[in-house]
Parts: sequence; C-alpha cells; structure tokens
Amino acid sequence: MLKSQSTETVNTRLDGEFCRNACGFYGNKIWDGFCSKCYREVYQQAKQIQQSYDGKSNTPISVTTPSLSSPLNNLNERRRSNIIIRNPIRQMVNRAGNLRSSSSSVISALINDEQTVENETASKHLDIMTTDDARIDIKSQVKTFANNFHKKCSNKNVHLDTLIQDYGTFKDTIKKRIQTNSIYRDENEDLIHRVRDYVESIIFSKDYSLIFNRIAIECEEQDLSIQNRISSLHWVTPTMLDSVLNEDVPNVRETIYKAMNALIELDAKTTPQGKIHSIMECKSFIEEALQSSSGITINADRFLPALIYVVLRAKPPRLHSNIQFLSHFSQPNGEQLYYLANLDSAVRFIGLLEAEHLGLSSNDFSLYMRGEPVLPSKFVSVFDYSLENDVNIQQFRQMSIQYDQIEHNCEKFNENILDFNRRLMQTVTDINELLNGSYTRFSYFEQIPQLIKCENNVKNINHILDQSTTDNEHLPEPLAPDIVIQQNIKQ
Amino acid sequence: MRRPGQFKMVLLGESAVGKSSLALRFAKGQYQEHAESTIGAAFLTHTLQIDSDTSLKVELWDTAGQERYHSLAPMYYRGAQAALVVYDITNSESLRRAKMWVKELRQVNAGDMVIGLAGNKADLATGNKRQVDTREVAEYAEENSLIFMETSAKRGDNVTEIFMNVAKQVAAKQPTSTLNKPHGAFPPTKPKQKEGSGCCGGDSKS
Repeated sequence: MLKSQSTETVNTRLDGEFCRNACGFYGNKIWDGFCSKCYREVYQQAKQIQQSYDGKSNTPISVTTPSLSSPLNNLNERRRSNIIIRNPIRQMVNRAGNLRSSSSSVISALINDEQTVENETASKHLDIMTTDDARIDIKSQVKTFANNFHKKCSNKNVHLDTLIQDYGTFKDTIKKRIQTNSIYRDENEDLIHRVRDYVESIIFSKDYSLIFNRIAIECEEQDLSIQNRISSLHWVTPTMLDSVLNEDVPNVRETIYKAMNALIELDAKTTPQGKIHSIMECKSFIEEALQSSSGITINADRFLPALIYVVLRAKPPRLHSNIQFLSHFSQPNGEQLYYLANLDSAVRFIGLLEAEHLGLSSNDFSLYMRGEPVLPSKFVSVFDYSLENDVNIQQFRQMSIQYDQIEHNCEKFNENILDFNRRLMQTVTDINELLNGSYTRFSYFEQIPQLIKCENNVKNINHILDQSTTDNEHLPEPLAPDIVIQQNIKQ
Repeated sequence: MRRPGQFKMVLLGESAVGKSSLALRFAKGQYQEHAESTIGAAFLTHTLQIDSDTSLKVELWDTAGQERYHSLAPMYYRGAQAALVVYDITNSESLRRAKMWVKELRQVNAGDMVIGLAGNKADLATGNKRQVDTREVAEYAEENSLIFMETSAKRGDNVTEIFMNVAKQVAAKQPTSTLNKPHGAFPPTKPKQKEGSGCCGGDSKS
C-alpha cells in the first residue's frame, strides 16, 4: 500500500525522464510523460478542441460566439466526419510528445493540419492550372481574404451588407486579376469558374453557417410566411396551375418526387455552387416529368407552372433565405441565372396567388382555403374555359356536386351490403356448427347445448360455469382492450 | 484574346403564338410541329456574328405566356438589353397583348431596351386566316421605334433576320466592351421594396 503510493508520487525521480514537452521539468507517467504544468495546458486545449468537435454548446468556446455557435459546430462536425474520424485528445498528446515543442505550437500545428486536409480537397479545383506561379498567387490572395473575412463574419458588429459588399469586391478583384495579370496569360478560359469553386469551398467551409444564419434570422418572418402559405395551398392541382404534368403516370409521379427532393436539399448545401446544383437538378427532373407527361417542347409556358407545383408539393425549408443567400453570394452562369429567376418567380407567385390565378371563383378559392369540400378535382378542367352562360355553369356545378355525393353514398351502401352478407354467412355457419356439435369459434358456446340439456340441474350448471371460469384463467388477458378490438373486427 | 460579348433577350407574348418555336428555329434551326424528341426551349443561347470582328452571344429567356403569370414578367425582363414581343397574325387578341407588353417595357425601361416585334405564323397568311393587317402594325412599330417583321418559325422566314437586327441595334447602343461584362448578379428580390419598378436593373445596364 505504502509502496504503490510512493511510486505514484515519486516516480518522476525514479524514471529520471524529462517532460515530453522539453520544458526542462521532469515528466510523469500519470501525466502521459508531461510535467504537471504542461499536461494541464495540453489537456485543457485538447479538451476545448474536443468540445468543438462534439458540437456541445455549453462550453467556454461557445460563450464567445453566442447563439450562432451550436449550428456552426454541428456543421463543422458533419463536414469533418467526412474526412477522418479520430480521437483529437490522444492524437494531440502523442503529437505533442513527438514534436518536443511548446504546447501552444503543438496546438497550432494540429489546427494547421486540420486546415490542410480541407485545403487539399479545395485545391483540386486548381488542378487544371498550368503554372505554379498562378496557383500560388491565387492561393495567397484567397488566404488573405479568407482570414479577414472570417474575422468579420465572427464579429457581430459587422453588418451583413458589409460582408456582401466585401465578398462582391473580392470576386471582382480576383476576376480582374485573372483577366489582366500576365501570370494568368497561359491559363484556360475555364479558370474563372475553377477559381470561383475554389474560393467558395475555402470561404464557405468556414463561414457558411455564420453568414447563412444572419440571413436566416433576417428572413425568418418571410420564410415562415412562405411555409404557412404553401401549407394552406396543399390542395392545388397541376390542372389549376395550367400545367401539363400528369401524375396518373407512375413514371411522372416518381420523377416529381425526385424534383421535390432536389429542391428540399437546397437548404442542406453549404456552398452557393452546391445550392445552384440542387436547383439545376430539380430543373432536369421537372423537364423529365414534363417529357413523360406530354412529350412536347418544354418552354416557359410549361416549365414555370410545373416548377410552381413542385415548390408547393416540396415545401422546401427556408426558401426565402436560400434565395437571398444565392442572390448575394452566388455567381451563376446565364442558364443557372434563368432558373434561379424562375424559382424566385415561383415563390413570388405562391405568395401573391389569388383565385383567378388558379382559374377558380373567389368563392371556391376561399372554400379551398378553409379546407371545406368543393368540387372534385376531376371536374375542374370542365370549368377551365370560360363559358358564357353563367346560370348553366352554376347548375352544372350543382349537379356535379350532387352526382359526386350520390356516387359516394353508393359506394358506402355497397360496402354495407357486402358487410351484411359476410355477417349473415358467419352467423349461419355458426348456427350450423352449433347444431352439429362441432362449433369451434368461441369455446364457451360448446357448452351451451349441455346447459340446455340439464335445464333444472342447478348443481350441474354451477359445475359447468366453474369449469368455464377455470378455463378463463388459462386465456391470455381477455380484458386487454386490443383483444376486444380484434374480436369486434372478427365479428 | 477576344471573348465574345453577350446580351440578354427576353421573349414575351401570349401562349401559343410561337415564342419558343421562333427561339428554337433561331438557336437550333429546327421546327417541330409535333415534336418527337423534346428539347428544353425555356433557355437557349446562340452566338451571332454581327460583323467581321464582333460576335454576340444572345441569351434567350422565355416567359410563361399565360395571363395568370403576367405579373411575374418583370422578374424576367429586368436587366435584359433586348426583348422580342411576339404575336400571332391569325389572332388579333394576341396583338392586343403584345401592345400591352410593349407599353409596359417602355414604361419600365424608357428607351434603353431594344424591342423587336414579331408577327409570327406568316405562313398562314394566305386564305382568310389573317386577322392582323401588316401596314397597321408597321405604323404602330414606327411610332414606338420597334424592329418589326412578320416571321414564320415553320418556314424559317425572317427568323434570323429579326434576331440579327435586334442584336445589331444592341451592339450599336452599347460598345462591346460593356457587353463583355456578365450582366450583373442574380437580381435579388428586395424584401423592402416589393415592386422593384426597374430600379434593380441598374447595375446590369451600365
């Protein structure tokens, strides 16, 4: 007992090893070979990093960047987990020992390492560049800007408009540099796009959530109102929007789902190009669906209504914020710009939608909005073209509604008849079996004939009843409600 | 190293007047009455050789012609340097709509925008199908300084010509150097000022 205690406390002397951090003091096994001071420093910092990995919000770190920190950390975690999963503390301590440098430089080395992993994936965008000079130039330009920009993003006092302006100015500077600077003379025309992707992956890997959250907070009200608006318009059909989409074709239905998914993913993408890619994917699926529906040239007359329908069905989260984000930070080409404008138009149309936009009377529109039954959708197309005689339309409308009600009641009646038949059949077989003595459906009734036979023999009856109660004990929980329900169904 | 200039041209007109047929004929040289293979014709580009050392890439933005989508048109023609308003010579109602478009464009963009007016389906002019008189429209076009032609997407008459004339006027109005600039960022929908009456296109015109 005494011995083990002494080894634990005094073994610094016995091992005679210096601290792994080369600070001049002796190290100790219980502190992973560090001296107590260095161990505390390394461990503290490692713990902080670990916490930011874990995305826990109640840490000292998150106090410095309140309210925005937890989504950021979650995001960082998600992104990093794609690269390598590792235990930062252990790795940190190992590395710290190997490097034999001061603990603060150990930390920075580790963080730098983390960044190189990110930068490597981003650097792939620059692979096509022919000269190293140009590549180094781009990288240093972007790095300087990214660091400044990151500081501004983290600073709550810097307004969003300033960030937008800064980013815009930087985009223009880089573009101008590529077009005018002689070191880029030999480069491909595609370079501007590659550099754009590179800049985006560097900037937005760090600052996406900082920026997007600011926009989302500003646009929260609009985002919510669009969501609510879409929810209240769930009854809109392609026909009402004058769209040729035909959901009765399974193929079309399937493709519409794919388009909806692409649109929903818009919110999850963390770079402007990623978001634009989602929109273009959605566009392709809509074209595919239109093609399978009608097989005619897909022009704006057909595309826009289909897009509006897909937006209504998909109910994408934070739609307004995403459009705002793209309008400030994306650099779409001509075609992408066109489809962005389409999405923007679709959202605006949904916001301002009124009865006449759907070919409905304002009365029907408000009925739909209140969720009351109107006309079955299969008749809507009948009223799409404007007939002159209003009275006839009204009569026809009434008759259609009545017809639908009658049809509905007929179906109900048919069901009831079938049900009655089934019950009758069951009863007849039950009685037949009872008479034959082969009744099995409910075991109690087996004994009914016996009860009838021994009419006045009270003793016998009691005996039989006792038997039946003992039988009951073997039954599994006859009073449980679910079993009662099952019996009801059987009957 | 010379990069071609580009400009944006918006197509306006009622449904079924042949906006997209004109665009397809212009950009791909095709006409399909009953298309077998479908093509996306909502957004098309085509490069025009204006003269020996100027080429212009035209970006064609199609708009939905249905009346109910009329209010969305500003989202499309904002920042466009040119517009082609199309009507159907066999349908006088479509000319009425076309005139509404011209009026709206002139109000919003003053004289900045080059506007072409195409009377399409000229191949149907023979017989009693024609409802719109050519001379009347020509006068109207003169008054409003529009580039007017009767076209046939089906036969290909005057299709390249009207696009070419519009492009030439765009090039004449703005030196190619400014056309080289990509036409501004994606126009943001400003939440503060809902009706963006032309104010947002400012950066793209210069």
